[in-house]
Amino acid sequence: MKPTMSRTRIIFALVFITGAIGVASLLIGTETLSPEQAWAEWQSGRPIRECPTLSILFYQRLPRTLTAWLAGSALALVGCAFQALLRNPLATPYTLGIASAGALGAWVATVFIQGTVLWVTVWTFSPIQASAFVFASLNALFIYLLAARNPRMAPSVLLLTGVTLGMLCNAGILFLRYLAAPDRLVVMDRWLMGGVDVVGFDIVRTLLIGLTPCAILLLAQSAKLDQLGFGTELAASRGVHVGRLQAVVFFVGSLMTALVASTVGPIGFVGLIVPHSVRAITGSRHRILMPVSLFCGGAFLCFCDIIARRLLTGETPIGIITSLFGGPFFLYLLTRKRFTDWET
Amino acid sequence: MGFCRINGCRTVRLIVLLAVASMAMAACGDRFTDVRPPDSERIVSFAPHITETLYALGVGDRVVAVTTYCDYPPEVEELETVGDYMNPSLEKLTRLNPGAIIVQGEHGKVTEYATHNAIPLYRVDMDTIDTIRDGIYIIGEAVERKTEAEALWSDIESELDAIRNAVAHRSPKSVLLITARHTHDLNNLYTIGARSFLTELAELAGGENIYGDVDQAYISGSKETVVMRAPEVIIEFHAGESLSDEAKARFISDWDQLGSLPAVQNDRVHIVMESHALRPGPRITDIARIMAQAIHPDVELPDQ
Repeated sequence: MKPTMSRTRIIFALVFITGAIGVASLLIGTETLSPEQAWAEWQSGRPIRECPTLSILFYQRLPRTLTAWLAGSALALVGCAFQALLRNPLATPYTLGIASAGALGAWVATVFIQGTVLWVTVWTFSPIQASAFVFASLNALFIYLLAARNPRMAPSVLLLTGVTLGMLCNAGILFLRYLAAPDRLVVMDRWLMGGVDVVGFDIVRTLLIGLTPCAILLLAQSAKLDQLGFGTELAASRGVHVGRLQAVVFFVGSLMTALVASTVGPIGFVGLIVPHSVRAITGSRHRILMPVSLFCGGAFLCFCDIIARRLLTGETPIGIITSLFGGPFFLYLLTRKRFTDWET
Repeated sequence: MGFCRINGCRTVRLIVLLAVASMAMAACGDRFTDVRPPDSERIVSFAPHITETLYALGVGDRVVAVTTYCDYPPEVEELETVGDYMNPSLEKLTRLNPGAIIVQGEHGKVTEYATHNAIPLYRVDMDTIDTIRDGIYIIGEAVERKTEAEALWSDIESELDAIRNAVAHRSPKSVLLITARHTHDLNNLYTIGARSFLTELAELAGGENIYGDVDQAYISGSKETVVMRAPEVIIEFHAGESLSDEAKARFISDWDQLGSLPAVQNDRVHIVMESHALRPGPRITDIARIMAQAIHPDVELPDQ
């Protein structure tokens, strides 16, 4: 349980890595931008939107860097919190079926709502995103009503309910796929692979406003989550209001997952590998594990997005990159000795 | 031990028996799959552009079933449907007892069905202008309308030439072709690469596809590349949709987010809703015409 690196060194390394990846994410993209061209455009005094180089920098790379960072940090943080809540190292933000419900919502929108009067953009939410968010939230509410009526949630019941609902949603998706027109299949399959290639700041604003208070609320639970690690009885005896803690973590985490999955699609793996990788460096104390996971999750997704831009002609879906690059790295970590930490 | 030996003996006998049986079945199978002589009186088409080709060749009255996506010519609406490419209904196919089946590209389930039931199966791969010609010839041969197929192609070719000549004196304009965009954001842009007839048609119509150098049919395009290659015209396909003027205007205004594009600055974003806009069939001349009008609106095109 002892941190293996001193706190100042961790913070210093984190700030450096996050900053470096952020800068790299602005400088590296599908196209190579010339600084002279950017400077000439800046001097010309035309609106940024009308200058090619500057518009790529400010309206494409900056928002997508921020989107990737926000989504990645939220997923890693929720993964961390859910692993503690469910007391299961396999838990991810998607374990409780929230992403599947979101995907089902996206499919319902594409198959049934598209072309009707309901196909409208609400605030910055496209109909697909809005429907995904509604379904994901309903899923969370349903799990809560079904599994968590007791003063203390049993992690196993919560897990089983979530996994079952996730399967139901997947069956629904298969059925809708069967009904959908082929051109929509392509669009939806692409959505399911995730993507942060946004233009403009609408999604960044939505994520920032939605995720910030949730993240603060989750981080505030870190000390209590440590206690939960010793078991609900012991945590309760140490003054933790276990029922309330579980409800808060569950709802806040679900809300964050719903928001991320509905805006950038269900990007997998971040919520699993980042908290575990971080745990290998910092140890299991949530007060340090959670903020570090938050930073690393953001940096990791930013890094994957850079690869997504450069790997092939056009955009490679980021969900594929996170699994393809994250998976082997995680397997390597599993072979390391420090990884027995969870057992302790 | 004795028990084992008897048992082993039985196993060997069983294996030999099975081998003989399967060889016999294989021998029967050969005879089984002998293809019946084509009875092109009862044709089933497995793609909209195949249906259109059959009607253009004047054998529409011999078509018994089409897919759910076939909508041209209008009389096909009254025909039976055999599902679609993804979900063919084999039971319906059996009931219809087709004399010939025509499919586009790899079609595992239907190919297997046709082979098993000894139904003549014709496959076309109509993706580029050349393969569209080949496909029309294959279909012409299948329905014994070879001369008609040649005449149909020469009509198509001469009309394409007429359009090409009409815009030939203009310098080509860079074009971005977008397919399948349903939401009002520019995330996940799907565009068309070199391997599609649409790139060829755009070139013929006096344009130059900015993704024409990518050797794929469809690409998830990067908006950075779009900005740097600065298309002068954007053609967005909403094939088969019926958008109101308002809805069209919204799709066009979405592009304001990429305000540096000449196409956006000069109001040259076009929405194409014709249901055959993405169909590699005999009506590609129509698509070429629509593209030429979008790319060079001031050029007068010859009459059809």
